[in-house]
Amino acid sequence: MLVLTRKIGETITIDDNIKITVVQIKGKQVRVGIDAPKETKIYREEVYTAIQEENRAALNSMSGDLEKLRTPKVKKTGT
Amino acid sequence: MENIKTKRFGNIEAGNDHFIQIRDGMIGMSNLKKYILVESPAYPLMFWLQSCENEIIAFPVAEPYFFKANYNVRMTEADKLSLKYEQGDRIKYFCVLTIPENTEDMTVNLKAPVAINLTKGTASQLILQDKELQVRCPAYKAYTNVLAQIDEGNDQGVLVAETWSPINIIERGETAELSAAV
Repeated sequence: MLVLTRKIGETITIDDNIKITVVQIKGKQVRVGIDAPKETKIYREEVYTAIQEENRAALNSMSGDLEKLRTPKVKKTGT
Repeated sequence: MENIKTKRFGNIEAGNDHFIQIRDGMIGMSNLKKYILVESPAYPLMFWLQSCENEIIAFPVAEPYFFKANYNVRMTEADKLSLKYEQGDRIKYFCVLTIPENTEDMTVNLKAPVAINLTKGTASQLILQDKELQVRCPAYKAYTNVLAQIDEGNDQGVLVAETWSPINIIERGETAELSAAV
């Protein structure tokens, strides 16, 4: 990983069209501003990872017991 | 018409009206871009977002309004671009269900709904900024409450796959929202 040191107000440019600026430093928190083309999707990493994992878990739903999620009528005539 | 192989439903005949292009794929699965929405009559609240490129990939989805009546989606510019959204396009939202072995522990992902652009046949899994929305929101109680209000059933006891063209989805969505509001 490339590591750069920046001061408040300084910017990193990625390619021609992405700019990341250190806006504020407060204790252990850093606020960054991001300028990117509008088609660029930007997310907090932990949120993205949680959704990725949840999508994988959802794919296993097929092996679960779906019987309780059927229509009431079907349930009654079921067994 | 094209023949789509699926693990859950067997072979499904699908035409251009049924295909949903997800440009960026589902989150974590960017290589799969072509899907269909499959319904099984015995499960009236649930659809399966089935990959056309990998038969074992199918996400159970349901409308968010069953779980949160005032569910509100604000799309970013990036979201709109990925959906090829233009003003007047009709958008429908579905949320991914996770159904573990103990069904009562099922959850719904309200944080990352799948937006389907019915007008263009495109879709995108969004990530909403709203911090209140959970990735794993308990869903069993709300789901079965709505289910209990539905009187119709399918007694065949066999899953019957049925594809939905975008127009059918709209009709279905409107009635679903009504029952959620009851």
